[in-house]
Amino acid sequence: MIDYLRKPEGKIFSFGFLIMLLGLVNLFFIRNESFFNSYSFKQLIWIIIAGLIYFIVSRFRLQTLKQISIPFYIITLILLLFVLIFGDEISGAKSWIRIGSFMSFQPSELVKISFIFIIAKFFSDLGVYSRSLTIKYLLGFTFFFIPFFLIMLQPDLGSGLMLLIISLCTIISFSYNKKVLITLCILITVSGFPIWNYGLEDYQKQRIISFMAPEKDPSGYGYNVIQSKVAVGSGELFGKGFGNSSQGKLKFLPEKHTDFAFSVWAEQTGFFGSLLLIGLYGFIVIFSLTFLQKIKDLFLQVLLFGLSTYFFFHLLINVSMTIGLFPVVGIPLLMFSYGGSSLMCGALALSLISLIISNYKDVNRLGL
Amino acid sequence: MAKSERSSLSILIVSLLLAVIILRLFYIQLINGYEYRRISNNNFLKEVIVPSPRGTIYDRFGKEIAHSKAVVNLYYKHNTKDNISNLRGFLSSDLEIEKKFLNKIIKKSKLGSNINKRFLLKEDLKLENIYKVENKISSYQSLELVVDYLRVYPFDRVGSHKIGYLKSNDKRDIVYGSFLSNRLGASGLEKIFDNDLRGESNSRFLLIDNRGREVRSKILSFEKEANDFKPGENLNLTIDIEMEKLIYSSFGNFNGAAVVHDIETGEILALVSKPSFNPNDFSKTISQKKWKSIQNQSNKPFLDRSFLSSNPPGSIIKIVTAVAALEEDVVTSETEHYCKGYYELGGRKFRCWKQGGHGKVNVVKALITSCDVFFYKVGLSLGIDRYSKWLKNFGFGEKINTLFSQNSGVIPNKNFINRFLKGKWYKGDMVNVAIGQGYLTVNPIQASIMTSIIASNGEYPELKVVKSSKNNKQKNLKIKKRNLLLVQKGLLGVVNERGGTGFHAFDDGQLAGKTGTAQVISKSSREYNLGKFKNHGWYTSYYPYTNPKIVITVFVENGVSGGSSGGPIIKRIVKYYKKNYMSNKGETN
Repeated sequence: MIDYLRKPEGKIFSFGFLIMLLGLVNLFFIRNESFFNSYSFKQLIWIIIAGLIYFIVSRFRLQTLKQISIPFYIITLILLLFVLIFGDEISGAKSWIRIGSFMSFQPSELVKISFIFIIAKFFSDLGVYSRSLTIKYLLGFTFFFIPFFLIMLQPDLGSGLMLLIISLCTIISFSYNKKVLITLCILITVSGFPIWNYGLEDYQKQRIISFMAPEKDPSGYGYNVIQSKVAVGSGELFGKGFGNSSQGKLKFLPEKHTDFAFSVWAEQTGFFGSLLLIGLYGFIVIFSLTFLQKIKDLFLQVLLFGLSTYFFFHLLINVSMTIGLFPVVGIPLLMFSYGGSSLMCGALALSLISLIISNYKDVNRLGL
Repeated sequence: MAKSERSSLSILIVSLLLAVIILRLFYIQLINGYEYRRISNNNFLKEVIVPSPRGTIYDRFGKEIAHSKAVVNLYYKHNTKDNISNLRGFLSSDLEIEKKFLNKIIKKSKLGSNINKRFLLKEDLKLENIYKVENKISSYQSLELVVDYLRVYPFDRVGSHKIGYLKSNDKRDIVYGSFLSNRLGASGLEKIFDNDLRGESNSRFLLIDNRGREVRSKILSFEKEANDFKPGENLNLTIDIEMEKLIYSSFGNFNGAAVVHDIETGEILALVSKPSFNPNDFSKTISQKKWKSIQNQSNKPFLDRSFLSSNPPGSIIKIVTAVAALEEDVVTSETEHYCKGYYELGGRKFRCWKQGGHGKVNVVKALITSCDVFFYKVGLSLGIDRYSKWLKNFGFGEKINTLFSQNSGVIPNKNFINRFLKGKWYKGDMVNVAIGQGYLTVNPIQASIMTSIIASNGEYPELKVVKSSKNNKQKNLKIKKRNLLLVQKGLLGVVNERGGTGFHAFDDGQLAGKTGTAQVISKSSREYNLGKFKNHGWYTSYYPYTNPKIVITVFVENGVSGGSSGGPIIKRIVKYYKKNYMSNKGETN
């Protein structure tokens, strides 16, 4: 066991599961309920399942990953269609598939990972066309746009945004061209105006306004940001101590189990606790990225890179929105926030990273 | 992009972005952390202030002169969960709160800096309105009923100068915590004893959730100390408020002041000044406009005529002239002067008030008839130095040892003559001052002290309005008994003998006193003694003659003469005193 933890994949494993445990502790102290009925109990079960996923995935052969890419992507697309038709509507968005009475699942979480798979698969299989940027962009855009469109139909702004960011990072970094990058930047700037006028719902505009100036509207949408900043800030250096999250417990913070879990953590553990948590994520991301140059196989490269961005941007955007650096969008802190879907997907991504960095040496080239 | 390039560039970008987040956290949690902690504390702690009632002011018989009445006030705190337009409708139609004011408060409470503040919407709700709000309070989180204490003065204007009033608040938006019961005394005893009367409010902190509801559990190990609760102390006065009420009404259309005090104890039984203000007007929020209109009334309702208004004493000062003359051996009981209706001095005629003159008068007769000519002559022989010394002995021109601020008046002593008259003092000035006109001015309290000294055979009284067990140390003026007796006889005659100027107060033959008329100076002689230039009347007296108990002094503005305007008031006071003080235990000891 100790030997395993010393290995690179062991480090990824231990850091990842430490995050999950900290998330569990955080959750446990948000409310004093009987444990077996609480969020933390459910989360504990999810963590156990996450352990199972990790165990199962670590048995995979790397070749299998490439083989399942297309079916994986298609299945997630079907799930996205399914959720639009049969999904449960929770707070205005059809994002959930109910499984029994205990579980419900959010396919939009899974599609972020399956997108990385399909991009990795096609980029590595282009062969003679691999030098054609046009084909790369066209493919990339197609693979991105189908799930993106379905997600926006739900609508789930957070997941859509996350998918967009992951796609942009992955596609651009594996088909890098200065001109394209500049054109893209200009295009985003120019399209800002019509999108603002016609593309966004009023509540979405309101969110952006309240992000820009939360103090102007403290009890409306800006309320969440102010209360979250109050929670984080009031933690000061060492925090208020576990169980003393007044902002969280007294319901000043909305979505304190999921989107604002970090605020409660920062309130309870202060700057030190925040630094610890960010450090754990930062390690996973940066440590994974150091393997990029060692891996020869393009599929694994794209996959590893995509999964790292997947982790990183969840952290970046989630923490940023709790401290007023980013508008409030529904993006959870992977593996830390309450919720089966994000925890499962986080665990899946973690397991995949761990699998790649433990086995990449065995396979120089994954030819089929 | 090369592999290694991709790897290191992405690590660089990741590190930079993480650094931004960490810097931001550093800024929020460490640099601004203290401030956020403070906001967070206010966020979930709702301060509940239990106002403490101001102490009651009692009169000598335990009647409440000022007390605190529990009232219910309505407060508003912005809450997004409420339907504002419905709420606005309810408040403006059912509770009759002015729409403009309501909109202002609602707008103001929405501001970021006011998010935790509760604003006062309406004070002292009627019972039916309390019920109306109670029914709505479950559906509107933004409303809150708060108990407070309103200062109530049941006797309105009677004796209000010495009781005083509370500092009023003319601001239109009052935030929770600024309670009626916290207001400071603005004048009178309310101000002097403010620290004792005002209690300390108790503030507790309740845990609340984001809807403002109290959370009853110990889920947070957070405590905030509560202040001690201390209701205000009561104040027991020597005042007889019913007597004051009687005096106030006895003045009728007249303005002026009246003082009644107990000779033995120095306790003031009544201290009335008219016109006066209604202290209840200031207990609630008062508009700037109303406040100004009260202040600017031409008859100066805020002026306490008993302490702060000083006027020529007129003939009542002849008491001092007589005592001084007797003590300085200028006259004896045998001395007689002839009054032919005027006294000629340097070619100018100084008239006696009685045109035909009084004929031969001795000092007793002169007091009874208030003969001016007698006192002109006596005054001239006395001279200003000896006279002003005796005026000072009686407390004129000096501040009295009392809680209240006062206008001590002036006596034309050497100092005064040098300072204001360039050292020139004419005989004409002397004769004027000897009968209480001219440069001499006194206030009604000083007049009462003078009479008290005569009644108590020279004892200088220490006046007080607050009951205390402390025995007052009295100084004695050491006036010769036979001289006192002459003056006392004279004063008895003023009320009870034929030709006495104080006959208007005649009742049972036990009242002794002296009347006076203070000339009001007018520019033209045609206005003399007319309208607002009518002379002020003085009447100072003590009762009963054989065993003096109380001194009564009445000053009537524009009363023409002290006898006619003050006499009936004194008569009523004496009647009241006999009925309430002497019929039972009063006389026996």
